[in-house]
Amino acid sequence: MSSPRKRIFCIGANHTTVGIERREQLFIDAEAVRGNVDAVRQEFGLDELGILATCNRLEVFGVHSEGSDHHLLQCFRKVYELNPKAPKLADSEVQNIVYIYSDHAAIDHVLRVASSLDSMIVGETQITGQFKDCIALAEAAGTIGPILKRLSNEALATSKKVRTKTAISRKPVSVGHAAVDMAKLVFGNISKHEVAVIGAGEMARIAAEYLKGHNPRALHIVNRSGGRAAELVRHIGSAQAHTLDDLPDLLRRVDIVIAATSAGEPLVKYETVRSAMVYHQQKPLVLIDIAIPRNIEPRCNQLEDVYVFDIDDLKQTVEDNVKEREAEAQRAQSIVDEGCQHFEDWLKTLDISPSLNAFRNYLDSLIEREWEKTRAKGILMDLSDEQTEAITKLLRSIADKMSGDASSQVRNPTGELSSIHLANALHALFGQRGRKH
Amino acid sequence: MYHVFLYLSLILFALSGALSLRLERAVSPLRKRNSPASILLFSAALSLTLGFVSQYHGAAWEESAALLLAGAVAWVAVIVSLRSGLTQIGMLVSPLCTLLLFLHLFSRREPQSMTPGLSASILGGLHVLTAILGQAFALCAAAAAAIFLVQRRALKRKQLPHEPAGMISLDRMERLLTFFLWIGFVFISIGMVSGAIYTHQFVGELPTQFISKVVWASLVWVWYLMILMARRILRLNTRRVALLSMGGAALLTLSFFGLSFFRTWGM
Repeated sequence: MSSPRKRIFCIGANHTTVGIERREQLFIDAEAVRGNVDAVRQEFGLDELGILATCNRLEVFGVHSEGSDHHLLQCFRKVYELNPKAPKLADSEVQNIVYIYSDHAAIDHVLRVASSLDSMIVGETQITGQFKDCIALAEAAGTIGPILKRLSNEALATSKKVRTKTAISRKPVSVGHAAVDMAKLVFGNISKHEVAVIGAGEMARIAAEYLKGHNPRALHIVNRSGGRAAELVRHIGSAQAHTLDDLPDLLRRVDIVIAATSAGEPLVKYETVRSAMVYHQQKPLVLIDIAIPRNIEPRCNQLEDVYVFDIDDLKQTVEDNVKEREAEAQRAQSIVDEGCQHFEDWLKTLDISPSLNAFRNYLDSLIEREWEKTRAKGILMDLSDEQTEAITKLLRSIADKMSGDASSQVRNPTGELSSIHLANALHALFGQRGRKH
Repeated sequence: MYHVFLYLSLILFALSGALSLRLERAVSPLRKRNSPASILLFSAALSLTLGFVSQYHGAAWEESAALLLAGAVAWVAVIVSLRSGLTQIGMLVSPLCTLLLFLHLFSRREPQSMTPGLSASILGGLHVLTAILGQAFALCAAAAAAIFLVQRRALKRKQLPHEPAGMISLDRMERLLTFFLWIGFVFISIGMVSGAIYTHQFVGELPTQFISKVVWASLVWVWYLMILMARRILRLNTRRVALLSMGGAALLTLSFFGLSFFRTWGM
């Protein structure tokens, strides 16, 4: 009985298919993924499963032996409903916001995502770390098998090649950098102002490092955990660490706030900002929110002299940088294509390896059988140990050569028959059932 | 001597007002009794008083309600600032006294004799030049205000530029606006002072066609004074300052081009 063909799939929604409000609803945190990924895999009968949830995308990718697009849609729905605040969407609504890829398209998409070619800011570095975390989480949950493991390795290797062989990341344009450039629209010279960065993660770190280069009058790092804030301060130097309790007081003093935490609800509220503006003496306050879900209440923009920008606004400011990277992105795509080919070549071997192994086993067992038969007849009994070993080596060498030649011909067929056909023929010829495709 | 003290007191009141607006804080934790603005206010009050005294011993006493009022208000402010340290009072008193002196000088019916060394042409030229410069800077302030308002609106509505690096930042526009307002006000003030002295010395009773000009010029001066005071004392935000600046430019335009219309209308 032939086993069903395994297919790689990827279904998701990202910044190109949904706006920021819906992305906030799609966001699910690591704990939700960790606790449910295996349950989702079992419920939908998937062989392997990984879930990538970032501020700009929710993607479900994996391996299945059966199933339709509708099946995958239901799987995606199940995943995004892990967010308790997610609204119930009709099938048609889900269909409108997702993309579904299979096989080659799915492989290409995963490699592009890991290499940041599919990011809002092409060439940004956070996505590679986020992809690694997603794989680690799936491994810990036991939902990663040999195919996704190999795919993830290929994706990370491709990502590394893209960064080293192209200039896609050499002009450091990230959401954090774009946020600082946004602040400069209000305050031309940041060195005369105090800045606060809320958060201690990757985006906050990038924003803080970039800000430090502008020598602000004071740089404050605010985080729920004072320890993480202190750690970031140690990394950056010449900054002050604060907890969220200090935020209302800080809002009175600072002129620029960049928020980049994964908090599920706004940390900077309208009333707090309104109270703080009394102390600003009609000087502007810039609030930049690069988090999803948003950390700053959008309503704050209604206050006089308060300017609020969120991640969708940053998109506009980086369009030019994206254009500059288009040429590099094309070069990067050729590297991704090589990665796809490399992975697909390996994938093919999954289908032919059992046949080649079976042929090798046949040769080994044949040698063993004939050798025992010969010895049983009393032939070659007077051979020394050295001579016996030499004959054994010769026989194994012949088996190696035959097996190697067969493997080479099957993997790289020169005639009209494909690898699969040759593998099946080997399987049929040498006693074991071939795998038909 | 009377006129020297009078003109000197006018200049000192104007300087004191300008320094008060520029240097004093509306809410200050420290009370500087010897601040430059306070010293100038005291000097102006003293100069005005000496003018009275010299007039008393000289020719017929020139009773002027405006001058008396200015003197009284100035001395009260000096006493208050000395006793309580409330030097910020100069921000209000000095401009008021300046205005009162303007009223007195412009309402003179007969020209005074020329003070030796004082040239009418120099004074007249100074008046015209500074008036034009003041108006020019006031119009620049209106232009800066308009740009500020447009950029502010764009940022509030998130209509962001494609080339952020090419856009002048909002705070720089605000500084430009403030700079133009101050420079414009200083030149307008010098123009008013020189015009008042010139009128008092060489013109006397103003011809009809100049009355509306003086009235409008005074209105413009008061308007810009109010903007700067509101900015300083009331901490008016830049958006409102910008709107008022554009209003001031409209007043200027009227005073420059519309005098003929309003002269006949007012008559």
